[in-house]
Amino acid sequence: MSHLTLELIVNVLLLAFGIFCFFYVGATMPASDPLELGAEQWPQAVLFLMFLALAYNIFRIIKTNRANGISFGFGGIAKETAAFFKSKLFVAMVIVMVMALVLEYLGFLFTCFLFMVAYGLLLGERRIPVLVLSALVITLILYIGFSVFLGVMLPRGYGIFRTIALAVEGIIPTF
Amino acid sequence: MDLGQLLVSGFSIVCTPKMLVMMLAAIILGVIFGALPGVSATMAVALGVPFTYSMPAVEGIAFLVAIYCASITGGGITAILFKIPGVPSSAPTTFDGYPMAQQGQAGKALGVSLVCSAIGGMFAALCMFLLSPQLTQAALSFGPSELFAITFMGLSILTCLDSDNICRTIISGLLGIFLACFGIDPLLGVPRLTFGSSLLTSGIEMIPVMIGIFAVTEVLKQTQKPKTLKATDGAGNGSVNTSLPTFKEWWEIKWIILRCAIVGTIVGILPGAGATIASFLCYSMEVKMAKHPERFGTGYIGGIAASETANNAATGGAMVPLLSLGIPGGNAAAIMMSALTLKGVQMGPLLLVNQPDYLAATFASMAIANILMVFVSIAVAKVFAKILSIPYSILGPTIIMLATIGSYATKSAIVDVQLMAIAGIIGFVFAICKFNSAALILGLVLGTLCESNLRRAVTIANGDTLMAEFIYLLKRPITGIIMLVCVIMLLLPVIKPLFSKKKNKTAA
Repeated sequence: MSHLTLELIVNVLLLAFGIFCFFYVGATMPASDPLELGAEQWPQAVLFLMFLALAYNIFRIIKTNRANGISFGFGGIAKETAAFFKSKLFVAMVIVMVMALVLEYLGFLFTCFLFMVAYGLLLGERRIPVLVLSALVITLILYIGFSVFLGVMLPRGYGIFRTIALAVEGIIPTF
Repeated sequence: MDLGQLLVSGFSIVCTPKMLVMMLAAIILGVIFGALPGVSATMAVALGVPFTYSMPAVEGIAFLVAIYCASITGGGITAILFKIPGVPSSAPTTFDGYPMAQQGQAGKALGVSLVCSAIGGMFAALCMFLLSPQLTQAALSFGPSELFAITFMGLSILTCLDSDNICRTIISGLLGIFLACFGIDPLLGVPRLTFGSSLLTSGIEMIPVMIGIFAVTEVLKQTQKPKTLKATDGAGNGSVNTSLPTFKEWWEIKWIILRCAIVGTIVGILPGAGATIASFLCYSMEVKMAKHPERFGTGYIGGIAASETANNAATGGAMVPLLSLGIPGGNAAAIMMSALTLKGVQMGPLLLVNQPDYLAATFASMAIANILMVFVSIAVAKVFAKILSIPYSILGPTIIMLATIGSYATKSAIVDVQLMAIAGIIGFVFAICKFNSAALILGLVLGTLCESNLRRAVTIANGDTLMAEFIYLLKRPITGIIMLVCVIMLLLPVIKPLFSKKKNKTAA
């Protein structure tokens, strides 16, 4: 999938989302006074300008493609999408999203440790002892630094994860 | 008490061994807090409040002012080295600071950032000391329409953030302004564009989006195409020699520093504005005024100077209404005010008449803090730069975890971490499609302020029709002039190439 094809898809999606929001905000906001700038009018004005810019951008993309004799390449889209799902980048995105989703349940200590190990492996670190040790040290530095010394209440997780996090916090003042 | 006596009084409060040690501690804390993503200047000041419990009130304010100034400066360190702005006002510093770090000029970038921060802070402190009552009166004459015009001026940067992709940059900026509309309506207090979800009621938080787009996107880029970070000056051992630019380079940016110091101070005084708007506004102003705007965003020291001078000048500006009228110019000033109120100090116009020591001590504290923080920041930057010698397989995930803490710390909400992750991925897609992430952040930062001030101004205008109200607003002298400047600034990058094309045709 060429960048221009991806850009076209993103532009069309933005346009579709914008059109939906334009009518949604108009339908859900209270009717505004004719002499006041209502709650729906500002976002609608912004969206209207965005539609114009998006329409011009889509026109420009199509024109550029035609001028350069580039086809949009939708034919190869399935193949390239499959390649993307197998890429390192996609795995990285998944790891980041999973980290954000499990943080509440596993707590910062476990999430950080597991994330550091998983992402380190993805980035090509093959020295497992180094990876595990550095993940452990960094997790503890971050947790103690922010949670204990700066008073940032980092998530402790639920169940056993919470118990372990509390135990770690309990050890620190005795140092 | 004349000015000379006031100065002596101020420095005699601050220049005691005990106070100097306390201030040094405050600056170290401030720079470190500022450099940590997610620990905002407000949070740094709040964390410093417990230390002031045992101090006399006048020493307390000097201590807190030192933390405040230093935290704004500290934010520039990680913005330059890692492209993670420590505080939101350092976001424009990443535009030129990070490219310089990638070119192996991190030391020079840091040198410019620290010296310009000090100059901005000193200038604002001097303005505060000499012109506090007059500046406050001038700022109070600014109504919603003038504040809208000022905010709109900040948005006018859109057309020149990336002069080769004006259309994509405008789309990004408008998307940012639109995203700022999510959440509770600023005037009516009803949910808007929340799609029935309580998670969206508080709107789309700027800090997680900013951290996601700047930090997570960068790590994803590195994951796809790994390259060695060389934010050092050549040795490759993670050391940063904070070298200063040559005299010629300083001379070249002298007007940038002066202009941004003045504008930053004025923006700092305006209630509701602050260091973030000041830095974005000054950066945009300098891009528009530059003979070679294409140099901005590629690692130009003028870009760093504009952003860092302005955000530090705004810290001094924020102290003006606080000391003169008892009106906090921003969140950090509000915390300082509450700390002083706890000590029984009644802020307001009579404070400067009855106890001028407060103004003098604040000035002396800012003056000394701005000098000391240059040296402290160099030491902190060296420590932070050492981190760059760590292999990226360890540094990359650490940056994401720091970003996670930064996003979570603001409101202790998991949803902000998820927002950061989504913003990081969207930022990556944006980068591929050549949309402009900085423009999106700019829209998100200024969108709410722009909307609420415009709507207030229209409500106050009270005309026969909506159009008549808009015309009435434009007839207000300050609003009219600023809006005219905005229109010229917005259209200039679009019109300029057309003129040059015509010129070239005529020449041919």
